[in-house]
Amino acid sequence: MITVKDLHKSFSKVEILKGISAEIQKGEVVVVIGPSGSGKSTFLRCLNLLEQPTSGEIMFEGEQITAKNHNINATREKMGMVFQQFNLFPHKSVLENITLAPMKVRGQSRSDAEKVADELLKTVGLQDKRNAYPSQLSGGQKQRIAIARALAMQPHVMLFDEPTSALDPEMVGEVLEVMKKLAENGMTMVIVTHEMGFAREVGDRILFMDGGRIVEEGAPDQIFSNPSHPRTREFLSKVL
Amino acid sequence: MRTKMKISMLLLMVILLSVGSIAGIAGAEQEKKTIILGTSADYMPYEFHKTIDGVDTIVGFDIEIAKEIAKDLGAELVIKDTSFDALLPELTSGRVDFVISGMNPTEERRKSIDFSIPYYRAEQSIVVRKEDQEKYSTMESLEGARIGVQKASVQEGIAANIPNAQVTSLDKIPDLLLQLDTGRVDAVIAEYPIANANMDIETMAITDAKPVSENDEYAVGVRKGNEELLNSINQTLERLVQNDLVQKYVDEAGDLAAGRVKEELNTFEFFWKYRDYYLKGIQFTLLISALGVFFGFILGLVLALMRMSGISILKFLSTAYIEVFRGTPMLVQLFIIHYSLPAFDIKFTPIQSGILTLSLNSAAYLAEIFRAGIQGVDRGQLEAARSLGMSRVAAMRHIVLPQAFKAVLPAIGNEFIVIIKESSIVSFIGVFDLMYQSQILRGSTFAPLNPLLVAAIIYFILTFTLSKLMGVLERRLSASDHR
Repeated sequence: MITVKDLHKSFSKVEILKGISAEIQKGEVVVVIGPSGSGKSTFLRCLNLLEQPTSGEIMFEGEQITAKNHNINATREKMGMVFQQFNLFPHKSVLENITLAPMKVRGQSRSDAEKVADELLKTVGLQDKRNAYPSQLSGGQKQRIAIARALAMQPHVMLFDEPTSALDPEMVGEVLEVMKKLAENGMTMVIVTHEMGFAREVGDRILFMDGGRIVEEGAPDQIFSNPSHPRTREFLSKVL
Repeated sequence: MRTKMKISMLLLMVILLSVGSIAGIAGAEQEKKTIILGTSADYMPYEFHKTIDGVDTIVGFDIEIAKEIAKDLGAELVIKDTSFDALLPELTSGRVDFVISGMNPTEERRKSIDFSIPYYRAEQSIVVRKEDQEKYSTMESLEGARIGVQKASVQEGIAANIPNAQVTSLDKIPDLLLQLDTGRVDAVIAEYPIANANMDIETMAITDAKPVSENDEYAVGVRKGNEELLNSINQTLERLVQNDLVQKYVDEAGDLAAGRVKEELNTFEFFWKYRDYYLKGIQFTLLISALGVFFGFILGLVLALMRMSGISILKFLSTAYIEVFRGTPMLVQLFIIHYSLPAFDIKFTPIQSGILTLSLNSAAYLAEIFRAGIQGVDRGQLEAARSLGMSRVAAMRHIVLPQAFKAVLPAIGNEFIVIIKESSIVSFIGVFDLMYQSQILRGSTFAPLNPLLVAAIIYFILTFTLSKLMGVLERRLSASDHR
């Protein structure tokens, strides 16, 4: 579904990504782990071009999205993204947060968009917050709404950028629960996270990144029980 | 949705109003067979405002002469009242056809305009406080005294020749007499008919001192090279002088002026008596402020977006614009737009020039306010909107701008208040706004304080109401922040 070939990204002469190649299959849950500064988030943000790669190419559903004249807005409709800092729209109610893009981008009618939104609110267990504003929600609730907002565009793939890192510990569970449900329903997902237990339980495949490269990849059991690369071993010994 | 409707209705009204007012004014100026007189109607008894049968009218013997000139030309006379300083630019920029305003044909003025034959020669006099009448009975006794004169006048030249005199030059005779009354000057030099018409005979007197001046004749000014009009005016003046009509007009004007009684009114009574002037002024002040703010808002937003577009030429243009309009006085901008652009055949009515200046100037300030607001919105907001497939424009419109607008609302309100107050400068080019009306009332009633006090109170009510309205809007928009 997504093919990445020799992706490089530099920020004013500092090279963050030093040649990443990866393949993500439809229906697969890929979890990216690695130490801070290893380039995990940058890699994820390159996938929907929130960061413009310095070189390399990215194919999505057979289209080269890194091509000069590619319409990135159309591609982003099919790639949902969830951010560490939630980034809910503070001036809009929960319902408006979810219905805005379907109405403005897709041209859906208000009633259609609200029907979808109500379904999604049920999925994330927050029907009663329909008319609340983001400032009235807890961190965990905000992130669940952010997931619902991304899902409202009916994306083919969901990108998660450290979705639980800004949460109080007791709220991590509710967000992971929603993500697990998504994975069980066959959603294609790319997740950058520090939740190793979750990675092991839900992930189909683990990418371990360090120093701007994918050092090792494989099935969760193999990576967590029997890592082959010394750097992976070292990292896991620290976090597990 | 409903608020959106309301706002668009309001915008529509503002646009219709502006188109209507500008078109109306342009239409009125296109009537045929008229001749436009420029005058500064605050110089009793030459030209001054007087309420005749309830209607504010400009009268005086200069006006009578202008009527005769128009009659001989077979044209209808239109009187345009501006400040004395603005008369020369009004004439050279072609906004008026001729000037009669107690103006001396000095060498300096002859450099920029042509003058008719003199039509009147005035006698100068010295006005002092009554108790000083004997003290200043000769010109020599004025040595070292504090002397008040009208700015750029013949009297200024006389005062300059008095040894060690401290000269105060002001625009208007009533201001000078107020200075005399409050002891800030010792003597005021003015023409005899003017002094006689304006001074308070209870507290002031004309001394026996007789100032002499070489250049105390008065003449009609026309644009350089306008021979045809000049010849016609000279013929009219010759006829009037031969028939002793000028002296007759002077006497009549003196009678008109003398009919003025000093009124003892409190501020409220003053406002009530002259409410028609103030109501008219409020209309003009609100019109030009509202349109100035409206167009300034749009242009400011465009400038802010240009500056942040990342396209270097747009960024440069916007930055240059902002620096220039923020860095030069608004009065200078107003005069350039109103008096210098006509040289390139761009002629605006005073109202148009006023609205344009206020719009261009406030746009520069508002652009910076908008920029601060947009930069203050968290980057994640734009990223979240873009990640949902919104275009840059849609993300700006639905996500970034509403938040930016909310954050800078207090600063925008501040700028609106500034515009209402600063709009008073348009009185310089003869827009009949609140400030202009209060100046007319100062000239015609000689009340020293009330005309300005009433204007100040009205300005305050306007700005205070606006600041309260902005407060309501602010509370409404912040409803989502804490509930």
